[in-house]
Amino acid sequence: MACFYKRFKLKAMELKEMISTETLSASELSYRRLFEAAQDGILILDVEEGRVTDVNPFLCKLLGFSPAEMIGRTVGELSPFRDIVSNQAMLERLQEHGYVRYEDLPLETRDGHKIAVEFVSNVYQAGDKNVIQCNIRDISERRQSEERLSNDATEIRMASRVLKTHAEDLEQKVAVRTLELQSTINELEAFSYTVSHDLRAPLRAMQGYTHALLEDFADKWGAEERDLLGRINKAAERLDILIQDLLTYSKVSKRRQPIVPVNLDRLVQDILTQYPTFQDAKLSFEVVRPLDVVLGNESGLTQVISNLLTNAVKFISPDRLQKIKIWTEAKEFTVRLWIEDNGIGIDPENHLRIFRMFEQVDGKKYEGTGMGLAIAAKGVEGMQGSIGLESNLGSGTKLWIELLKPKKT
Amino acid sequence: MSAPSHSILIVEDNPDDLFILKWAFTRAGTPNELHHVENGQQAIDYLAGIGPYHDRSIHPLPSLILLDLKLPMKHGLEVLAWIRQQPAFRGTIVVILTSSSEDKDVSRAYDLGANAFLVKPTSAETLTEIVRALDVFWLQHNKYRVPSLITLNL
Repeated sequence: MACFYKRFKLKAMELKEMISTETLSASELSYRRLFEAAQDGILILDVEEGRVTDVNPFLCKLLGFSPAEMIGRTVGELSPFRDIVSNQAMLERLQEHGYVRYEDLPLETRDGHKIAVEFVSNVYQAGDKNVIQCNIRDISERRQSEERLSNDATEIRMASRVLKTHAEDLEQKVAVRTLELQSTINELEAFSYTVSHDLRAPLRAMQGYTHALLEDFADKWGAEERDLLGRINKAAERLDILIQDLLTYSKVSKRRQPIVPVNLDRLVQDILTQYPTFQDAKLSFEVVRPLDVVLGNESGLTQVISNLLTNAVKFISPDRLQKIKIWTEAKEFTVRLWIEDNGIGIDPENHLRIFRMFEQVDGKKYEGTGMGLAIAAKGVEGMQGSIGLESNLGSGTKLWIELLKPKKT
Repeated sequence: MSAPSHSILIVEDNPDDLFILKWAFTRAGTPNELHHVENGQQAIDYLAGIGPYHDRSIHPLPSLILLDLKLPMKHGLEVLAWIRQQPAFRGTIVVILTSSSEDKDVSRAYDLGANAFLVKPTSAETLTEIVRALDVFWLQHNKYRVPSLITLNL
């Protein structure tokens, strides 16, 4: 019985050993497979001298050496690691800390390729003895992409710096230009002041003296002398009107008044009854009342509309009654004021010209400086409006201005 | 008309404008006594009775001042400001007669106490009408404060 037990025990111990050996060899196998297939380099070193006892295929391929060329050497003796890893230092550190880690080792492979690796050594127990396992990971690609990233970052930083410089440059330029513009405006103002004062003074003198000559020495002049003096007077008068129109134009150009609702019905009525030009028996006005309210400013609109009306009554055929019709046409956001006359009309090819300075399509046949519509156009522009016309030669003219409609309250 | 003769001080630097203005007064037939200075400083000196202007029998205080704006030495607006600072001249009629029709000048002039603002007309006929109207309105119909009743406080 005891014997049986002893045998049984023995058997059991054998069995246990067998199982453990089998288990061991199974784990040995799977380790081996990992070792062979690993996509990191693995070196196994003996712990006493740090000589290579095993090397996996990945590392052989990475460095370009066969296992035979590496086994039996210390890491320091392998040419890729030479001068970088001191075998002794590594062994000492391993003994002290149990592991050594080099984060970024620059290596050169057998064929001269530069690569970067992460090198980690651990001491661990394999069976009854300690071994060193070194894991070597190729980090060249990571390095490169890191480098690229850092280059990109540097480039972005530089680009943003350049951008900032440009922005500052631009800001400065805008400031300088604004200053220049302001000084130009100031100069223009000073100029128009000079024009109004100094250019007109000699004209007053010419007119004054011819007038004095005509009146004070009336008995001395014959018809011819009177005619000549009269011509001097007329020329001075005309130049004065030109200067005044220029001044008005420059004033209208720089005037920026707030736009408010303006009652056109009253405004047009005032202009028609108050301006002497429109009190003529040969003129007939038809206003389709009430005219709509528009956004603008009263002084600007008075200028614009009186100019348009003056234009409408100016270009008439001498032999017939000039009829002018005025009405408003409401659009979605705007109101169009129409002024229609039955005058000589304007050839469509000249439609653009008439809003320019000093343009009079019909030459010298009619009075004026050709500034009236240019002033009106400038004035309308200043009130965020537009101006235009429909006309054909010989069939009258329909001038219009279009202005913003006040919001309904 | 038996209206009293008022003296008018013309402040004008342009000899042509001065000639025509005087001519217009003659044409208008107004009984006014005309005095003349050429720049802003002279205008102040005249009114203050300083230097060559100390004799009031030759340089009487004016009832009306025709003041140009663009003047040498002192601008017309400075002269106007000075006039209105003197209690003695608060009732003196100051009419601006200038080439400028700048809105800026017009409002500054009224701010400083001008009685009227006239733009020099090109036509001598119009000017004649203007000086006649000035005399009729400001010096005949308008109730006028005599400057000599107030002591000059300079």
